[in-house]
Amino acid sequence: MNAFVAPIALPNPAHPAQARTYRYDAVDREFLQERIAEFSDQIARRLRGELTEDEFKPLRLMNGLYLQLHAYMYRIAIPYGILNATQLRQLAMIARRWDRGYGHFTTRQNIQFNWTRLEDVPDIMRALADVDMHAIQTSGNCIRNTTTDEYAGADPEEAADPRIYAEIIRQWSTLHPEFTWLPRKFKIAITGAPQDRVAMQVHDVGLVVKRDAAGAIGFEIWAGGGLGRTPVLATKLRDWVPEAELLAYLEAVLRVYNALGNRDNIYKARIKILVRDMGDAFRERVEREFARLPQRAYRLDPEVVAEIAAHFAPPPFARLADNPPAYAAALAGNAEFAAWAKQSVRAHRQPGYASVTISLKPIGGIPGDASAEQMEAVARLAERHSFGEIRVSHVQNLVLPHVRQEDLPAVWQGLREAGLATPNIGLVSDIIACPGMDYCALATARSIPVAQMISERFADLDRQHDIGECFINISGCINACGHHHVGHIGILGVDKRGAESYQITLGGSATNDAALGELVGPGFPYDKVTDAVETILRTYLAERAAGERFVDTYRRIGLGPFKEALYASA
Amino acid sequence: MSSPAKAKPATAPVVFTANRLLDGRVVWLVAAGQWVERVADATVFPPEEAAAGLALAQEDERAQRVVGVYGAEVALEAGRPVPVKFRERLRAQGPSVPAEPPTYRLAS
Repeated sequence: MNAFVAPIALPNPAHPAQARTYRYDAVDREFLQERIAEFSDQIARRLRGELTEDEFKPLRLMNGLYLQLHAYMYRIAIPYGILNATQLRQLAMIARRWDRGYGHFTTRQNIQFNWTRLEDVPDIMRALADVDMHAIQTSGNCIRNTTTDEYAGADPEEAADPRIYAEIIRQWSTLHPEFTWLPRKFKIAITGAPQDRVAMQVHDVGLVVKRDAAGAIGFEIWAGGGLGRTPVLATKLRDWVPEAELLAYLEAVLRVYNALGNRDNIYKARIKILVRDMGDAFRERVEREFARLPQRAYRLDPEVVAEIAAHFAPPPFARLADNPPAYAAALAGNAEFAAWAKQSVRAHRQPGYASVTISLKPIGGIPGDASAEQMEAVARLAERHSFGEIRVSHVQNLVLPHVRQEDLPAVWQGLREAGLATPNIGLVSDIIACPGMDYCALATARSIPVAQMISERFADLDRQHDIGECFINISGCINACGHHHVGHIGILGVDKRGAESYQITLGGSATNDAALGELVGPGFPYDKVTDAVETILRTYLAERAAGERFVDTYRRIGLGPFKEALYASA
Repeated sequence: MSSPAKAKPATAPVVFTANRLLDGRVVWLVAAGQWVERVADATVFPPEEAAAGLALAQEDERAQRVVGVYGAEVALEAGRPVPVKFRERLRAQGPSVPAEPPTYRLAS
């Protein structure tokens, strides 16, 4: 597990036969059992008072266990956001048995439980290992969970499947001995589609899988993006790194960062600061390091790639035609279904199939939260209709990637019964929000209730559709876990002389036209922030030209009209 | 915090708080070895006794009963302590949103 080892295909009851997910081998499973024994012993020693908190903290963090405002929080890795139905059902069981019956899906495509008891962690680890899951490297200054496109393997425009390389990176980065104590945490995102859905340019490393004219695979490599206190868009290091050299190049980037990154000042420790400060010299150092690495040792063997790719081969699709009569009839005859399909159903590369995005943003709900019953409902639907596969998106929704179009009415009905059919994907109530001060020990203001208030204010779907695509992202502190810098409307909660105050940025974007939002002016108190958002959206509606999204209008007219509308009466 | 009580002498009454080792829940100091979940039941230390209160609380941290001891300034309302800072009120009351499985209605 700690080195790049060719996986051995073993029968695994944890994985439904048709689901396309990673596969543990015997080495992985043996390691996991050893880690469970080790961390269980450390917990026991902590509970007996043999380890102080100072001694225990780095150990628990390397195992994904935080101590938050009200309780321990356990963050579980969902490798590149891909789950099978068995795993999701197990997460539901964990939520019900050892937590409060719900979990929170995060912007790193992971899940976290907010009410974990320290003494229960060994049992939870064993339950996770039963379905080939763990919580390792979901915290600490190491390479975190690599994120990827939630429509990977289903997107009709995808050049190459990013899951294969996300899995290779998972195997390479897990317990990598050289990169376990980096200057700061390190996040990688990878996409294989022309449309960036992974916020590639605000990651420590962003990868785009591409094909050349001959069909060979290579990677565009970006580095030094990040949000937080100092938001920076990534710099492109290479337009093309051949597939075989991917790990060598990543190794070179990480080595340069590990050697030169700032370890004295936590606020300057991320790679974005190094890349920004070094400029072209960073790229030159990486190239020098890359050139001197023993290429044979790092070479990505085509046989290994092929073996991993086999795990992500298309599921056994039926030969179907698009727009089957059952789907067309439901669209024509049921306005509620049609409204949901418009937002939640996405074209698939396989005729007769579609991808379904499941909103975890019900009106007035907590973004990203799902109850154990809802997880089980999604697992059931995935088994019946999506080859047992589920994806977690970085905008805190779930996806059933491969659904027959003729099954869409049944899937909608199943989601509806579970309270999961809110037709708001991509609209103003599809809000990213970090846990904020309601849960997080670092937060300086609440995020969740702000998201709830905005969602309630814009509950009317006709109004949401009239506004159109608009991404609102909310963070409860400068660390920016809610990605506020790249929201079309970004909201940052800060503490202002003991009271919550919310700064608003406009014009951010996390996709191909990545941009950092611009601060509109002085902050708004908690009870005025929803009014401010409404004023911004009213201004947009008054100013927009035909066909313009919110962000298009903003780019055309700039901050001025919004600023004037917000502060005119002040 | 990185407690005001640790960092500088208290100027207002304080209570001492921490997270319980076993489950991480927020607890408030009553007396040596005695912690409660309701801030209203916590012992209030006048500013001049804050240092002694902190020492008492830290004994339980050294005994590995609680984690992250610090002092929080309080005001007295109907004779009961209420934290002055918003963050501490939130710690005392729990999340301001339902900490339970979601039950939602569909959009109109």
